Amino acid sequence: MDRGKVIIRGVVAASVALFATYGCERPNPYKLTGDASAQEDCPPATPNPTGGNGNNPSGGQGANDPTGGQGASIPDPGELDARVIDYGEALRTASLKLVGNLPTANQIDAMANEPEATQPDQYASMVDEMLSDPLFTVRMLEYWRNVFKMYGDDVEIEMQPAPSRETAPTFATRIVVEGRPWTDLLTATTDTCPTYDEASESFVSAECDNQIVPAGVLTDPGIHSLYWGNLAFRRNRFFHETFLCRNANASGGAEPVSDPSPVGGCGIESPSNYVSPWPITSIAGACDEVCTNGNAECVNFYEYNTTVVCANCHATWNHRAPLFANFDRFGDFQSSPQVLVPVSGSPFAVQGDWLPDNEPTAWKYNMPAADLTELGNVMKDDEEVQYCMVKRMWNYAMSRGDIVINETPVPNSVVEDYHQLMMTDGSLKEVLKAMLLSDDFVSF
Amino acid sequence: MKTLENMLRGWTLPITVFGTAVAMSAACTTDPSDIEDTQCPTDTSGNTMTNDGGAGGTTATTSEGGSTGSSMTQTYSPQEVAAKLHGCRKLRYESVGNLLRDRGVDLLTLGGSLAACQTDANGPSCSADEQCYCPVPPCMEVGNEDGNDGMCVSKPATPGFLYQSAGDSFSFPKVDSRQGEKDGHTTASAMRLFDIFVQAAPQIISNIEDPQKAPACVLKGATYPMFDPSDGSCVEQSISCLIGMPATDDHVVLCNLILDKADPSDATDVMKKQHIAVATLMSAAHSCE
Repeated sequence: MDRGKVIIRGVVAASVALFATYGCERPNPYKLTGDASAQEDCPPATPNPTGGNGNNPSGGQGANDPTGGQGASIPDPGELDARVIDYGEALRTASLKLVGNLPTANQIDAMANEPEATQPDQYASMVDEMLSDPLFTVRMLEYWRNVFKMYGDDVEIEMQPAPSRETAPTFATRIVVEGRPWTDLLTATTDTCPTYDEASESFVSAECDNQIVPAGVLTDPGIHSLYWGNLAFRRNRFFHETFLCRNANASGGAEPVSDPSPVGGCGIESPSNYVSPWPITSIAGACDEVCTNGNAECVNFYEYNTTVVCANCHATWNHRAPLFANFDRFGDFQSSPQVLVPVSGSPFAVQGDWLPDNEPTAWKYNMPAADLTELGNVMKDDEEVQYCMVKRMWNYAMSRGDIVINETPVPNSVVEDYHQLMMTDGSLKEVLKAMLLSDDFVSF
Repeated sequence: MKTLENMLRGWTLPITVFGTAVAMSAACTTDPSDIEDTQCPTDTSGNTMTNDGGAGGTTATTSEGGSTGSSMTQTYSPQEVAAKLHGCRKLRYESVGNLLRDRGVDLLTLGGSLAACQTDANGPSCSADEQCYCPVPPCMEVGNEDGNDGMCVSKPATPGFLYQSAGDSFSFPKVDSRQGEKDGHTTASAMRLFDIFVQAAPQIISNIEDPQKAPACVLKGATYPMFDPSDGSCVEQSISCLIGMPATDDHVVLCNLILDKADPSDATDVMKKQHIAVATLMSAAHSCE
């Protein structure tokens, strides 16, 4: 093993070694499934072959990682068995997650002196207190700023005031903190541009007022201003990565299906490595370099039929991007596309640059959406979006980092119960709480 | 022998802290590399499990159920195992500030005269006990162009200066580049964090008994010193406050082991070891969120 690896592992293992002994040997009544009374769920405190508390230095890796998530080493299922429940460490980690600080000496002492049998209740009570703390709002603001990659009120574009980059994170934070349905993120029609007053620790309702019927964050002016770009593909990328938890690139941009469309462009069959369900003729393109739909000098997506790596994604994206095109650079919704086409003269895009005449817009194949209100509704019903919201929260709780940026995928099976909870309760706050009380979170 | 100040001017002390953390781990753990790096785990039927790392959200798994509990009998795919373990992400910049402030560390004082300076001989220089900090390089003449102004800060740097100037090393959000604060450590962020802990140690030791300066360490109305004045040993309650969880006997032993290395007849050496003990405890505890 190389020296750097030894050092990094050593430092992590130092904390591991320091903290591994605050033992458990008791069930966790807060886990969502399974037999909470099963004493045998808790392994003996001493033998821990990794010498650690389960901290996972790699934090998991990505879809392209042949080791399935551990960098140089394949995760050993025995690592799960080797964990021990440690409410002291769980409190420390939960406190950093929820209020951005370590627990106080009084909180640490209260947990340490709690009888083993009631430690789970004590811990749950402390989690509840932290979820009610105004600092949780501050922490969630930071979470959503990082998810959306935006913040700041005082923004200018070309010497002109630009819309706040705080409204979308603030709106999302409010939904979580107030325990509102997660679907409001995509479908709320009022107060979608709130602000947060730190002095009074309260949200101030406000409308976005950008000439479109609100649809959660889908119509947020700050998002559309920050992610303005050619043919609205940057906005498409934002919503794709944020709500599908997949990279908007060749590895995660397509809708892979088992029976891709055989219809290629210009009278030819799609090649064997075409994976999209959409007929390639459903998006704009030209045969013999003659554009008939869009700007005279067009981006020829049919050409991508021979360079399939592009067509695989654009088959979907061309149906989605026009929905975001009418927002101008300042986030105001106009009556025609306000994004440019990267050809000579940089003209404004027209519908034919993405799609043939009469081809409807959509979120995905068989998920049509004529406008952003409809888009919000099909997105909330898309199971992949639902799971994405849960997985983002899971990675936050488990210190795995951003699911897209850090390429830390989460199998559906790991968050299945939280998905069910979200779909019945609706609140991401409850989902987060359930995660923090789970065996996986309190085990190290 | 080098003084502590001299050590703080270079890399010696951070490396010492780093090394001590490694040494502490070596003393107490089995090398994680003992886990076979290349062998695929097998499922209960003895078949090699897939580890193709499919895209999140659509990955078929070999799991036979969706329990979030840590059932000992369940078989998990490598991706499931990875997802169910805590990762190691760095503490957020704000969290580092919060925990230090509440434990008696002044993060506002930059230290030094803050006079304008340049890093080369052509511009104004700082006094001997200061260094020129250049927030927007270059702070020196480039060709015929005079560079930006730096500012004179104290040498060694205060924890406040190290914290306030840590934005880049902590990869602070860059919204115009559509980047949030990075989740993982870089070498720069880890070293800066440890540097901050090293420089914060004297203030923590001085202030941990002050309920105004270190409110987080007040326990049932009482305060505790970092080191027992009667014998100089580490105090369990204060260790708990530093690491954010109940200190074990091992924590106390390890802390005292560092102090035992000091020459009791050399007050400077004793102080140095106290600083190292505090910084090491915090570095080891807070490498991961």
